[in-house]
Amino acid sequence: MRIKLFIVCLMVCVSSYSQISSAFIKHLVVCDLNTEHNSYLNSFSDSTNIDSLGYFKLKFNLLNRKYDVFLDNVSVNPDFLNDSSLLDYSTGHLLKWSILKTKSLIQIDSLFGRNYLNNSLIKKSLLLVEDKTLSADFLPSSLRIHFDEFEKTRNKKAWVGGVLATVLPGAGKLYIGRGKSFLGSLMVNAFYGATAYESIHKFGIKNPYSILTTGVFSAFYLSNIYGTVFDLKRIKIEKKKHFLYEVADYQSSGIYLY
Amino acid sequence: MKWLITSLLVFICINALVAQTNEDTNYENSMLKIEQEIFMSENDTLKNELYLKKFNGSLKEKDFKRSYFELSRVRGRYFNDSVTLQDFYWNASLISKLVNKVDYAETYYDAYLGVVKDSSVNAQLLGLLIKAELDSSSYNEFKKTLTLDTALNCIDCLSSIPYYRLKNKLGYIWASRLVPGLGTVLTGDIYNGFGSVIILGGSSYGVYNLFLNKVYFSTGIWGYLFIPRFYFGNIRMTKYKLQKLEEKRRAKLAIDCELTIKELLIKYPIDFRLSE
Repeated sequence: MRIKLFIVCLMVCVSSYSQISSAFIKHLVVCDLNTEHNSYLNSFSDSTNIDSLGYFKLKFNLLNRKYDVFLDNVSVNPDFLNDSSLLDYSTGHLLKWSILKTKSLIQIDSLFGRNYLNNSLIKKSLLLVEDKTLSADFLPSSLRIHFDEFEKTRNKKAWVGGVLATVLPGAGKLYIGRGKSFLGSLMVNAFYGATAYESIHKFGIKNPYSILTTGVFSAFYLSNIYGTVFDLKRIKIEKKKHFLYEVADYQSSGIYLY
Repeated sequence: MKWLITSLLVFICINALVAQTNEDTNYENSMLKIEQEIFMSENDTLKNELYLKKFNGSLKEKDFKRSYFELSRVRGRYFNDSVTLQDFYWNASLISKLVNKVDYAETYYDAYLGVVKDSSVNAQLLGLLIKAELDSSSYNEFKKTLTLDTALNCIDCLSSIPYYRLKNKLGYIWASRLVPGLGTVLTGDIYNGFGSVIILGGSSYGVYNLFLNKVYFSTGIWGYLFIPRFYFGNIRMTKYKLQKLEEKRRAKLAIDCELTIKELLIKYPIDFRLSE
C-alpha cells in the first residue's frame, strides 16, 4: 500500500513538469516568438507521450505555413481531425496555398475523421467549380459575385473565340472579355495585311520582300488566334483560383488558430 | 503522516532536480527560460529587466536579428540605474546601425548622449557613422558639435557617397541624339552602341529603299514602326546605361570608403557594452 502511494506521488510530481501550458504558447504566438515557441515544443520529448504535444506541434506547423508537414502529421494521427475549428482554419489556409492539398485533407477527413468537412463551404465550392450542374444557392452573397464572374468565363468556349479571331482579328479578344485588346489586334493585323497585299501586288508572290511581309502578317494573324484560345484558358484558371481564394478568405475569417 | 512527509520530500527533490536540468547552458533554452519568467512575471519593472536580459543574451551570441526584435520590447523608462540605461542605449544604437535601421540608431544614439556626455573617439565614431547614413545636413550639424579627432575626418566619404553624380550626363544624351549609339558607346557599352548604329542605319536604309520602289504604304508602316522606336529606344538605353555607370562608380567609392572605415574601426573598435 505504502509503495503504491509512493509511486502515485512520484507520478503526480513528474507529470506536473510535463504539462504543456497553452497560455504560455498563446503568449509566444502573440509576441511572435517563433524560435522560443519551437524550443518550448521541442523541450518535451516525444517519448513523454503527452497527448497535446502532437496537437501543439501540428498547430505550430500550420502557423508557420509548413502545410506539407501538417498534412503528413494529420494522415499519421487523424485524431486531430476532431477539432472542428482547427479544420476550418486549416482548410481555409490550405486552399490559399494549394487546391490539391486541400482536396487531400478533405479526403483524409472523410476516410479517418468525422467527415466534418463534407458539408463545409470549401468542399461544396470545390465541387461547384468542377461540376456545372450543381446549384450555387448555398453561397453567401459576397461570394456569389465572385462565382458569377467565374461562371461567365467558364461558359465561354475556346473554339468560338478561335473562330471569331480567324474571321475578324481582335473579335476573339472581345469575346473572351479583353475588350481593350480588340482595336490593337485589329489594327496590327490590318497594317501587316496591307503591307503584305501591297508587296504581292507590286512585286509578285515570289519576291523576297513579299515573302517577308506575308510571313510577318501570317505570324501575327496566327498568334492572335492562338493567343485568344490560350488566353481564355488562362482566364478560366485565374477566375477559378480567384473565386476559391475568396471562399478560403471567407471561411478563415474570424477563425483563429490560438 | 510519515508518508505524507516522505512524499513532500520526494516532490522537493524532483523540483530541485528539474530546476537543475533546466539550468541548461544551451542558448535557446536559456532564452526560453527567460521568456517563461517574463510570462510568469506581473511586475513591469521586472519584466523589463528580463527583456533586457534577453536582449543582452542575444547580443552575446551575436544573434543580431533576435537582438533587434528583443530591443523593441525593452522600455528605457523602467530603468532606475543610469549605467544600465546608458549601456542599453549604446547597445540599442549599435544594433540598430548593424541591422541598417539608421533612424532608430539615431534615436537611441541621441538618447544615449542625453544620458551621458560621452566625448570619447569611439562614441564620436559611432555617431558619425550613424549620421553619415541619414543626410548630409544632420551629419554636418553633428560634426560641428564635436571637437573632432583628425583621424575621423575620413568618414566624410560616407556622407558624400549618396550625393555622387556622374558629370556631363547631358553630353552623353546629346551624343546619342546626334549619332544614335554614340552615347551608349561613350558609357562603355561598345556592343550595344554599335548594335544601335547598325540597326537604325539598316532599318533607315531599308525604308528608304521601299520609298524608292514606290511601295508607299510599306514605307509608312515600316518607317513608323522601326525608325522612331529604334531612335528613341536608343536614347532611353543611353539614359539607362548612364544610370548603371553612376551606380557602378558609386559602388566603387563605397568600397573604398568601407576599407577606410574598417581601418578606423580596427584602431577605435566599437563594441557592445555588456556588463554581465
